Amino acid sequence: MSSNDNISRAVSQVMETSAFMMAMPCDAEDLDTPEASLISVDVEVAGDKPGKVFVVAPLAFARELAANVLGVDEDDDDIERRVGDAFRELCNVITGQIVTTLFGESATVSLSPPKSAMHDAAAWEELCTSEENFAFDVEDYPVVLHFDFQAGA
Amino acid sequence: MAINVLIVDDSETVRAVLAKALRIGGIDVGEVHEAEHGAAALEILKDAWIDLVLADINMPVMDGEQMVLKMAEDGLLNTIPTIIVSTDGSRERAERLSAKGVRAFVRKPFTPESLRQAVHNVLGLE
Repeated sequence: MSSNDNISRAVSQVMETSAFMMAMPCDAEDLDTPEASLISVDVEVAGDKPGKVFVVAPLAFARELAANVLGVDEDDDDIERRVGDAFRELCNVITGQIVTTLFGESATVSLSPPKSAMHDAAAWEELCTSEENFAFDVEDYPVVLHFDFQAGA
Repeated sequence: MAINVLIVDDSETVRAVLAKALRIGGIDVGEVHEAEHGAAALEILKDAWIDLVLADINMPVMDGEQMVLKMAEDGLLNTIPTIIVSTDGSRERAERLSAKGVRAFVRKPFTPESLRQAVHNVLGLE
């Protein structure tokens, strides 16, 4: 199994275990372009293997994620307040899994608090321009991530 | 007997999920205290009776490793069972924290079952 397959499998496992959502790896160009607001998260990695992980998805995905993680309905009063926090935590866990998949348990790293940002739907293509994208169809939501670790670090 | 738990994580969502997972896992939970970083947790530990600490590693202000080191220096706090619940997969850090008294590690993403197992092992519950 290739390194990319292992990354895709690790991300899918995080989605399933954390949020009970099925993530199917696919090509980014096969995903539907979102028509509503987007949310993205950056996680900086410091230590033995410095780098950065970036994840972007529709805000509606983050809302469903938060509802699933908390085990409440999407129209629950708490959801709007928790959407950003739930998505940041998902990206935090994904980053931890990517680091372990790429570098094993011998790497000692620290993850920065994840930083989130909101975007218009029109920013989708710009946010997904990396050639190293990992794309997923998660319950019909497009989710794209890419990462960059310093060569030789 | 119900156990009082201190959950230390900068994510409010994770704190809520951990509290829920303990109950789903059949742990008899009494008071649940929450802190968003290690420094806030140490303040709570000064005043509240805590039977179990669940702590993340990567947090702002004071991370989980610094918090464990502070607890290890205190003759009372170093007796409180502590479980690290984190994305961190570093073997070296795990060994360092174990030497400072951390009893178990639960890797995120966790399941209620994996958390229940760790709590049972650490507290010697049947």
